[in-house]
Amino acid sequence: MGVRVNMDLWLVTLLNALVWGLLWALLALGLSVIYGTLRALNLAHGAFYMLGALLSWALTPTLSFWGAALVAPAIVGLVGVGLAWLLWGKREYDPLTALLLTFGIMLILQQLATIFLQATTGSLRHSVMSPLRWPIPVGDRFYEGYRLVVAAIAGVVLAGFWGIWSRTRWGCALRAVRDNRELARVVGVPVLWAQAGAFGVGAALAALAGALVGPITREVSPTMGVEVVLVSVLLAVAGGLGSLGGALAVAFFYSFAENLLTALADPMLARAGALLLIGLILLVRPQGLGGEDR
Amino acid sequence: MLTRREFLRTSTAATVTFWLFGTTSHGQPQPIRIGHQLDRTGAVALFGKWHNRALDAAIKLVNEQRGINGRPVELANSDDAQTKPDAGKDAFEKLVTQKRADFVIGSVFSGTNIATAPLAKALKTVYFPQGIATEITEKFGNRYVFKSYHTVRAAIEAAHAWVFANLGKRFTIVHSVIDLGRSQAEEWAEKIRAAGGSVQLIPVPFPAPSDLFPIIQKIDLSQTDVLYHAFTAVETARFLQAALDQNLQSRVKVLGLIEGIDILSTAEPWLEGTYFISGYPRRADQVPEELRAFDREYRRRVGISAEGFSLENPREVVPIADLFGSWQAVFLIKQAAELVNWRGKADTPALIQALEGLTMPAGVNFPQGAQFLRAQDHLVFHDHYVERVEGGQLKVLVRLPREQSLYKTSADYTKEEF
Amino acid sequence: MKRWAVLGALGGAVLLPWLWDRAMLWGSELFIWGLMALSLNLLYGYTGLLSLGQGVYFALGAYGAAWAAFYNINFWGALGAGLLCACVGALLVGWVSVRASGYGFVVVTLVTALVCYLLALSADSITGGEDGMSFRSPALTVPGLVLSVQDLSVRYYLALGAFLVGLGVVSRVIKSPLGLAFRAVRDDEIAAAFVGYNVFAIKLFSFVVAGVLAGLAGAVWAISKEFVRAGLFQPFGAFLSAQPDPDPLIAVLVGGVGRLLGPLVGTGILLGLRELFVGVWPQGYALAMGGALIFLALKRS
Repeated sequence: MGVRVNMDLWLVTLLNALVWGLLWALLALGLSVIYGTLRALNLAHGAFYMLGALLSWALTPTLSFWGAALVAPAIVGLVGVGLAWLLWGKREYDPLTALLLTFGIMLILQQLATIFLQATTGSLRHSVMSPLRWPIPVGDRFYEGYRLVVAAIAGVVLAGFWGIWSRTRWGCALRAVRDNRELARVVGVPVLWAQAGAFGVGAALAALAGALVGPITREVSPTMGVEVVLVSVLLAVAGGLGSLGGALAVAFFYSFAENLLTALADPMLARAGALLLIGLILLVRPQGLGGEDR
Repeated sequence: MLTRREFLRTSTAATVTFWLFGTTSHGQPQPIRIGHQLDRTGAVALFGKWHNRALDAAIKLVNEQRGINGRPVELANSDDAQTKPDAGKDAFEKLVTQKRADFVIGSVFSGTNIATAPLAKALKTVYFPQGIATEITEKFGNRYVFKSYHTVRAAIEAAHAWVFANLGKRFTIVHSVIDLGRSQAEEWAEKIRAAGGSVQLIPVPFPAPSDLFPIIQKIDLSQTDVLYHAFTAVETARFLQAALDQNLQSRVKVLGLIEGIDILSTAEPWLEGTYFISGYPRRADQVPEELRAFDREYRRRVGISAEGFSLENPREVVPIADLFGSWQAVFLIKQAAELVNWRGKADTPALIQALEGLTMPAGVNFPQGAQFLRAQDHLVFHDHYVERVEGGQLKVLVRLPREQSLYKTSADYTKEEF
Repeated sequence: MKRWAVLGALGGAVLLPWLWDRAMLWGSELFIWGLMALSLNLLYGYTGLLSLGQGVYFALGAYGAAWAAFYNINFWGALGAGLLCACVGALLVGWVSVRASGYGFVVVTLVTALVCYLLALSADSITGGEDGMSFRSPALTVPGLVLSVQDLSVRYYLALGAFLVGLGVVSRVIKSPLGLAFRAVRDDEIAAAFVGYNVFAIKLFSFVVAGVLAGLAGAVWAISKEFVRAGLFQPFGAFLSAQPDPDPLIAVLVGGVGRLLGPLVGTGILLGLRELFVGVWPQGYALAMGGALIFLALKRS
């Protein structure tokens, strides 16, 4: 392998950037949708990601990896719906209240996961096995085929979501609640279910990312959501809260920046550099790429 | 007829006398307290737990040996040091001021050791840090700080000749940027360049990024004979798994310090064929023959099986290569305290002088073998081993005597005041 | 009556170290985090600006003092350096952020905090990363006395002193016409502008004062601990740590928003809760906090 930037290195770097871009997109999108309908910055997003990963890991022995990866997000989605129905109902809260709620949810979910994991397994970190071993040769390097499968799944889900969002009645309902809540209610949109549904979907998307990411990061732990929520919030904000296209664009932007900088420069610089670029976007366009002008 | 004044005077005198001579109303000697700066949570939590067990077992043994100067010894645990230097510092402070610890065995986290060292001197309490960053005995140590087992520099000094001769001189070092990782990277780089080899350094943020693939991509195999890794145990596993994806274990020689995998089972595909420098063999049958009896006793008391697992939970790996530092620290205290008839903190300077230059014989107190404590930098020198994972188990390839790990130190704590 | 209560409390605080050794460790934390909560209360309780990123100014204050101490600058110089860093940071961020209103402001402060934290982790040659940096604190020299930070009581009085300074500043500001302006902006921004207040300047001033106070807390913390680490920048420390420091926002909410001593009371409650849980059931603390947050949130609506 040459560290001189050659075709192989470019190719795997771009592939990896694509895969992570799609994963971040799932996360940023979920956050954006929740913000759009509930006007709540969901600090518990990382907890849903973590729950998706943990549940998937726990269910793999009984359901096989792919079964677990399907079921875990569904369960987390339902938990999301339940939480929103219980805590929000039809209401929309002011920023602080919503923040406190999601902060509280994050703390509780994370601690419950810690307690449960410690009690049942005695360890807070667990290795995740990849369901398939498919090293794709790229020059004299290998790229794990599993990651491409993840990209494909994420891509399909994102496309599917976009379809639902823009073409179905339910998606329409969500957009109505986002754009003009009062009017939506008057017109007969079931605000309660729209909200709860949105929260559930956002949670499910985060959980799916978590379930898929296990074999890539190779471990799951109750605190794995923390760093993720920090960056997802950043990405969702930079994309414009409530804007799906924006969220996608920024997710890819971040992922490409990080992967390219790691390859070309220092891994230390890569994290800082990618962040600064996102910060720059916000500086230039404070409402985010796709955000409405304030 | 006793006047009130006389009564008060006599009873006060009696109380003061009892207090001065440190005996309780039952006439039992006051126990000596050894404190443990314990991390219950965070990256080094598993190490903390086992060091605590080793300390507990060591103290039980000391008490069977009539304690220290006839006084019983007890263990005092600190508040959770949380693998955070500031929390560890506070924990140390409470241990000394509130729980009245006479000596403290430190955390395994180098950052915490470095932050706590000045406090040890300020509070005049001998401190035995268990982290291995070289700086603990160089830039950041002081007269009250003693390292009861090796630092990174000692391990590298011991092993580098063998490594260069048998594995190669062209290194790529992938390391975490915390003290532990940096220490290893810098020490190796110096030695490699001095030997005419080449080295590429790849620093990795701490905590390590979720995806180590891009970092692995930076390794230039055409320039690498030895891939050296320096991470905390948890991150080492992830790194080596990512390396296996690229089959690196069969393409280059993978080397690290045993502290990187001390809590991991070696029956993993990503450890097969990898090399480690260690201070203590994990498996009993790899221990040098003359030490086996002591090793058996040591393992029995701490609760470690012959294969290096916990006796209570056969799937839990015990970080045995780390533990002997804490175990030995207790006996260092005992040996020095008995040499100077230590009775209280006022005698600590004499104890420190006794420790400086101490030689320790092999035995159940020092199961690792005969060792000595260098006066200038307060560092214990012991034998090292190079081990390799073959068939899922660690095998010792070579034993490196303690003299080989001696390096020139710039520190001289003997010139410091107390 | 109230004056005697205040004097009594003050006297108690000053005499505390003699009463109980343990109280000093506890007390230093109470006053440093109480000061943090106080600064947030000025910003949020009195001016209506919810900032989630006050930790950044705490950290700037801490690092400013740390670097000054590292280069052997004296005590007051180090303190000043910390305050200066926090002030500059608050000015820069405030300039950009107070223009946004409502949710926008909250988001901007959060984003700044996140970016600063992640940058601080990356720039570990300057910040020491998670390992942090240890240094020797300069001694406080007062004519006739040399007070070293190694002494626990010195640390206690430092924290107490800083808190009293902060309290003095905040109480002064609140009672002044400026304080009235703060509340006007909080209650109805548009009306305040209509009446002729320069809303931007008022908000910015509040932001900077709060930032400087947070920086004071940070500088004192750093000088007391002789240690700083990148994690100080992190918003929501409660997420990760088993024993988090009292979160200023929760302290303010629990103790009473917009009340002068509310933050101190809130901080005290959080510290007390933490002590309660720590030995017995560590995870319980985070659960209790989570529950409290949800309860407080629902109560508000």
